[in-house]
Amino acid sequence: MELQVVQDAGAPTRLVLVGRLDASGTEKVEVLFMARVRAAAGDVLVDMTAVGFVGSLGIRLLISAARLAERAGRKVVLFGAQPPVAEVFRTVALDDLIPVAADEAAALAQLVA
Amino acid sequence: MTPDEPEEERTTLRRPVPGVLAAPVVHLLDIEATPSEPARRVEIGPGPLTIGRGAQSGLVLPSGDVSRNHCVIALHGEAAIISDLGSTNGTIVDGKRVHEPVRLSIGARLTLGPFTLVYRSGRAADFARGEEVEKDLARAGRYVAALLPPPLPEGPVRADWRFVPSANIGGDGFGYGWLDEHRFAVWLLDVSGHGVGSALLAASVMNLLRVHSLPGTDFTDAAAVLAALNDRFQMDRQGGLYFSIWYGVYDTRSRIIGFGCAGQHPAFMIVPGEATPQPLWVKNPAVGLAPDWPYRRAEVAVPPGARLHLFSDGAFEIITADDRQLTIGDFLPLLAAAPQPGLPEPERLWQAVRGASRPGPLDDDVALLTLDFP
Repeated sequence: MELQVVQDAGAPTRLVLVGRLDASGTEKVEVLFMARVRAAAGDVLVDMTAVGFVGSLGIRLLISAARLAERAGRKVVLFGAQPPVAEVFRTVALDDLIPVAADEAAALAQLVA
Repeated sequence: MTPDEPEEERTTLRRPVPGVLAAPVVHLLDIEATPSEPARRVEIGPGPLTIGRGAQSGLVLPSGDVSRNHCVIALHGEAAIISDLGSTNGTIVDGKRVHEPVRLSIGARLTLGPFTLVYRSGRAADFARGEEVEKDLARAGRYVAALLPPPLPEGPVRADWRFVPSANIGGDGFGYGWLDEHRFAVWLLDVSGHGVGSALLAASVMNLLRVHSLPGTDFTDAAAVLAALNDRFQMDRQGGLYFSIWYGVYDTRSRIIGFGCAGQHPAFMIVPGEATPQPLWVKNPAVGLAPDWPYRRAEVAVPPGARLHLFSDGAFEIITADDRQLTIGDFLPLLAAAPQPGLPEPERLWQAVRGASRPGPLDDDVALLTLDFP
């Protein structure tokens, strides 16, 4: 599991997750992931396009990050989940709890809204 | 250190610290369980360890696919070197056939016929601590298993199950029983994460549901039960743990099952004459994630002869031998397949899951529960 951080001037921080967000994958990235969300100056986009699997601890990480940003008056929006991951998101009703978008354009639109 | 320092001080600095620097390194092979052989561990001693099916081998692997003298592992300093001895089916290390002596890396997986052996090396004291942790996990798993209900072979609702805890304990649990003369409750839960913490939360919830101990809660109402659990088990007060659950209540008078699920995939009902399993699902978040969530429930009629399957995600979130990640869509055809005479349904499903997954221990608990409604 890898975490890439993309910070372009004037754009939201983009956190790109790559790999499996299972128990061991989550353990590898969670400290840095939460630190980046905490330190972001504004909203955060989480790019899920290269994530092939999300387990229960990965779900917890995503919810915790979104709530952390929410408490600071900011937003974390997930986008680009592959069909198997989107199915997991639907099963756990993730989109009822935190912002989830189909793609980057839709995610950016949610930030504007 | 400079040449001017006294000899006595140099001598003191070079003395090994007892029990730390001098701790012996051990080399082990963990032989994973096969359908005919339980898992076991053997130590690689100072002399070469020969492996084969012949009785003279240091490690005997009884299979026609293992040669009489298959391979040998010898220690050279702290390195373990494996050499094939001209075996018929080859010595496979991490998926590659060995043609020359190869140094084993820690965690290397050896495939010898139907057997998988994992090489481990480290300080004896660390292994001893690891074994204690494994024993604790096994004890936690046995405790959860002790809370499971016995199968119900007779009556208006019949139940059978198969539960296979993973080595790390995945936090699965389930149960069922009569709430009164006419209403029968069934549930299956899965706590996030692995380990003793997950098992503790699973056991707490199982005990509450077994004795209907949520004051003021109508246990015949699935939505009320989910809401009460959610009120009691918020993640922030449970060490960051949450759980998904499917809960249903069947009424023998109306032949209707009312159900709710919280962050859990559907249960599936198979109705005689219908080829496709019917998903029983309501969209709700898992218990513990959202305070005061208005949980929803649904109802479905249960025709005579219907069969209901509940299962944990460990039954389908498996990785195959060719490294494919399976999903629930891969599991559904197994549910719809014809039962095998004489083989309980949960056992048939377990064998299919085990057969589809890569060799070695499973990553998550597997819970398979089948209810029949004559």
